[in-house]
Amino acid sequence: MKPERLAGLVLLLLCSSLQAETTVLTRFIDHGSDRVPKHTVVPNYPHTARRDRVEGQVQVCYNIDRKGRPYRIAVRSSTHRIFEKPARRAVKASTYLPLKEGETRTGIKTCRTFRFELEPVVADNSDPAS
Amino acid sequence: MNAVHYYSLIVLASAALLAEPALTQNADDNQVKTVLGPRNPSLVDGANALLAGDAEEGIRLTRLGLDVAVGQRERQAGLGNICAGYVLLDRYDEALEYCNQALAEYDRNWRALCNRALIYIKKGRFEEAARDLERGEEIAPNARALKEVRGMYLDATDPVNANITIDDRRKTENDDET
Repeated sequence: MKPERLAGLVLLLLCSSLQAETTVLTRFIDHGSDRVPKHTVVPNYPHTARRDRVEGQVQVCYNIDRKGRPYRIAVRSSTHRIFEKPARRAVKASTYLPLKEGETRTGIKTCRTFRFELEPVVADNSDPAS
Repeated sequence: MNAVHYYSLIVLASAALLAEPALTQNADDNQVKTVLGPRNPSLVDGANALLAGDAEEGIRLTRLGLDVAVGQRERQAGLGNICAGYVLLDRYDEALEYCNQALAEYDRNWRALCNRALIYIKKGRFEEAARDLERGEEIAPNARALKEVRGMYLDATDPVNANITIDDRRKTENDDET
């Protein structure tokens, strides 16, 4: 390979303090599944999406086995592909309460929608003395 | 409190860019031969030191390389890398001096524009940062470094909080599993 082909840029990301840039506020909206969530993992807001001010949502549908583990996880709809991986990962890492003995599964897929939004930080101009 | 942390991000002309083999004449047979090794080893060593995070040594070596730089390419790389080195040291006034010099000699150096935009952001000179970013994006619209610095600019001028909502209300699709 010619030296010119090797020429390029080095993007030096010296992470003086890598990430930790995202404050995630999570709101759970009333639970409609027949299975009760045990541990819900919140996805990370993708860095590039946040950087480029991209918002969107992903709906992920899946089955839940007797032990409460999601499987057959599939993205049903999404506005931007960038959000799909963190949403799938979050579902995969989440768990539901296991079924009790004698309980049967309803055979209905559970769907979870993740909305990734960016809210302007409102400056606090209130007078602390007042 | 939303603690906003920035990447410390600089763009260097890489050591590979500078490590162009030197051409020399062989006195005996008058043939052109390729001599292994960079033409300006100080510039290469300086770039490598900067890449390794040793900014002071990187600046020192790059200065030496700049003294013997041949052509605009080497000068631009040297000036840009010294600028980047001072950014690493948080010495923004000195960094600005070298980025300005690089851009005075060649105003389409998007790496210098990117680094200078970063300096302006750090110094709170947002209008100048915006101008450099726009100019840099015209020259290199897909440059990742410019996108990162654009993000830093937006975080400084229009900060946002990321908010993720989990909505479990919908329950659809019959399971075909038996």
